[in-house]
Amino acid sequence: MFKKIKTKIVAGTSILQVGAHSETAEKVQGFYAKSPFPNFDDHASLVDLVDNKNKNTFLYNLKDQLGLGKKLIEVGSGTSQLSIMLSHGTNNQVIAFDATLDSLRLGEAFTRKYNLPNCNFVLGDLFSDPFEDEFFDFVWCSGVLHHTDDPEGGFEIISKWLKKDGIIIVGLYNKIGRLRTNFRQFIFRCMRPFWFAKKVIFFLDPIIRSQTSKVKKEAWFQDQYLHPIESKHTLSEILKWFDANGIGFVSSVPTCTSEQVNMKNIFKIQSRGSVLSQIVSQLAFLFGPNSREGGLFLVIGRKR
Amino acid sequence: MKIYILGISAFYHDSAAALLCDGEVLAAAQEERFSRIKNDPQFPSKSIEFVLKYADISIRDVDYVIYYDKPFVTFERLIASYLSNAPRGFKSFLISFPVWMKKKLFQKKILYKRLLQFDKKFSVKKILFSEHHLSHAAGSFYSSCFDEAIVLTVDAVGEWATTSVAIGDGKSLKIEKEIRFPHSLGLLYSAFTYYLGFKVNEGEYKLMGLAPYGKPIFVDKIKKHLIDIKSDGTFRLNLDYFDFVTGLKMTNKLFDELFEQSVRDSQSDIFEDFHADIAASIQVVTEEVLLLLTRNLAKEYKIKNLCLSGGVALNCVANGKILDDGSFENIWVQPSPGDAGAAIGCALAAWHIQLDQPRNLKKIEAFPSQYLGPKFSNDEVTLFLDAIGSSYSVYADEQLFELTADALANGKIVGWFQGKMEFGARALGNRSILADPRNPEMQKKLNLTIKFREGFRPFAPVILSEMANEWFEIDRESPYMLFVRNVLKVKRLAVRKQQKELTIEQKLQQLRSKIPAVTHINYSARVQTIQKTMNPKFHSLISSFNQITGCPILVNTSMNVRGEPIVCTPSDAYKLFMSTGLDIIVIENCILYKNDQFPKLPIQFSH
Repeated sequence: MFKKIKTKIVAGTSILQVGAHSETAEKVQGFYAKSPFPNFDDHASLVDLVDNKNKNTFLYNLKDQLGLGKKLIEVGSGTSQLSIMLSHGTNNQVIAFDATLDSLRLGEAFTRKYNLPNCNFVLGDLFSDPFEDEFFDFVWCSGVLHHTDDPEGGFEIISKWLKKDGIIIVGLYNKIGRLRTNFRQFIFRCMRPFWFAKKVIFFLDPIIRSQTSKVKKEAWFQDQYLHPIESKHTLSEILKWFDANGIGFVSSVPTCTSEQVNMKNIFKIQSRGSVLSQIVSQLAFLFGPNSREGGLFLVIGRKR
Repeated sequence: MKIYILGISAFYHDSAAALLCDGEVLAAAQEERFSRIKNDPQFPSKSIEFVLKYADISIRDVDYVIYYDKPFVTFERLIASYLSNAPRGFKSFLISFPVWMKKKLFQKKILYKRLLQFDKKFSVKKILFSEHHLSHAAGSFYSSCFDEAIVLTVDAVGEWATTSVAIGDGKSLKIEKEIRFPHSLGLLYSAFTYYLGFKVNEGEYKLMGLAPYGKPIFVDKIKKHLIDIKSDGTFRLNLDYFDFVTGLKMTNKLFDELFEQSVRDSQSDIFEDFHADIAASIQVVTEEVLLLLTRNLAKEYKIKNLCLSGGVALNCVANGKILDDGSFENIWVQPSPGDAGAAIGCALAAWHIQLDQPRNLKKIEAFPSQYLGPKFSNDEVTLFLDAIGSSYSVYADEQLFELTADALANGKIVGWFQGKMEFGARALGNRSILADPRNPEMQKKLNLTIKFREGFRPFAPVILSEMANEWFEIDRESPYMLFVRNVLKVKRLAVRKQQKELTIEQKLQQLRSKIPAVTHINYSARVQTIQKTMNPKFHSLISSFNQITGCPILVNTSMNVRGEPIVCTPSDAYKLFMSTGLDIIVIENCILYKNDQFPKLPIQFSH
């Protein structure tokens, strides 16, 4: 499972620590140690968590179509809700992998509480490349690479972990789709004092407004407005990464041609479209609901 | 040459398809089992695909396709209701009218288009229509072994009728009289279901389960303000309190004011005595109406047999009361009396009424129960389990029964997946979750860790038919869980008398019998009796359990979790197994233990 790399169990937990941390990882770890993301609501039960994730049509269908008896990894799992959701009700072995011990601790405590033996936690830095090549059937890495110094290098590493025919999903901030968030970030930076600027953002940000949990409001605010590292990418850029790493394009959300994702068959290959159609699609994305959520776009690929 | 008839119910709720061959039900299934959307109203494509595949025929071989309702008559009722209440209901009209124009009114065209997908040469002339209540009545009467019977159909509404009386005589079945919309016992019950925060068309049985925890203190209020019941059981609703005729809700502000509380928040898990009292009261009123109706029908027609159908016939508590009342010698409730069962009903109506074919009562006596859905062979199951890397062991029947019974006796909760899937709302031993009824913690454990549902919900017992009267006040077979019977007094345990001071939770915790997990607060149980001829494997398992424990009873609940339909395939069952607190699942002759299911990782994480 791991390359020849030092491993140890974090005392008092079942979390496995692998390798050493890079400078970036230390920086990001420091940030998330203070602000675990996406965090658990104080009252979230397993039923709440699974119900909540199941309401997301994409995730519900994704889980269903991933199948059973697989090895999955969530890179940058944070407090690991997605890993828990993907492991629950399956015999898949899921690895929740993150650089922040405090975030993983929350997820691990949750799986202990609800006896979920197939959600496993690994603490480490993706740039130390700890996992064996071609080990996983599915790699999920959303909202992570754009918080590193070398997103393309990170993608190269995680795509190596994927088996032939395995599925990879990367989620990155979209250059166009994130413009609304960028505008709010600009307002936040222009305002003083901090508490007032924060209040304004709590009023302006639709995700914060729609959240009822204080913990989750705070976690979202920290992640979107105070993160020390952030980059943005375009569809065509990611498609180049795919080509360079032997990953065949499957589809994306938003799609490259403004057509709808086929939820009944998420892994059905769609058209890459033209540069123009990709731009149009990303512009449409700017005014869609996903742009409200920070402009994160997903690209799905299959290893050749 | 054989005559095939395909019955379809769809577009409202619980869509289903049933296939008849020379008047015999070959196969039937609800669309929800395939689509995995509870009460799915969509056109039942997958169900049709299944029934055709089962009979090894194509849609071209089907002689008639019959739909269970007459959409133009239903539309007429809709328009008449809006016109008579205008301008009230304009908002609701704006929502429902386009849906009707697009998806419901021109049903023949819609059905034809959908059926063309199965065969481009399908002839539109093969499509027939039956009246909604006739479909229900036919489903009940023609599946009964009575040559002559009164057929009482009570549901929310079908076209105009909400309650109808038909007389079945040989192959003839004629509706004699009916009560028309908006005066509906089904809708009244659904209005209270809505008021208690449950989902209409789905939560009615939750209301029924809650009722024994309360006192019927609102009966007079309901009878004074909401429903005017005549001495013959006919009734009229006071529409001032309801919103369902023209609005988007079931009840209105006046209704809330009458009971001095607003509609219960469906997200809340808290039930107060008030909610239980409301449930108890509407249950009493429903039983009163049904008893008055059946008593008067018995007197009027002097026929000794009664058939019940329509959604209200799922009220097994009321069914039990009708049985105890003794107005009829024999009572038959169609095992799937709701709209799904009307797919079978309309097909039977086509065979006997439209095609004028005689009945074969001998064949009906051996009515092969409700096991009408898909089945999977051991080879198919092991192929699936191997593909997903599951760990399992295959056993011969005898060993399978012994091991499973032993696990049950040791407090394990077992998923039992065998043979053909049941048709209708009840799992009758082929897609069931089983447990030891003697365990006092079992009801709570099943509700909270397996079914993820309200703690008060009761569970049904399944008992070896030959020993049923040793445990319950029962003098006849109850193979479909459609009658409530009491636990025998000798099997009961004494409880504290001050019930008034106890909360619902405390009442729930009191041990009431030697089989507490299936004994409701009033000592009642929704009994399923199982005969060897009906389901030999299930009978053998319970016999094995009886040999170990001296108890011929198991808890039998459907293999599904809250909000999801009963499982259909081994894959559905496996997912449920892995996502609930089930300890063991038996799929055909394979036994799977939860702890063995996860493929080993090269590094062991110490959970």
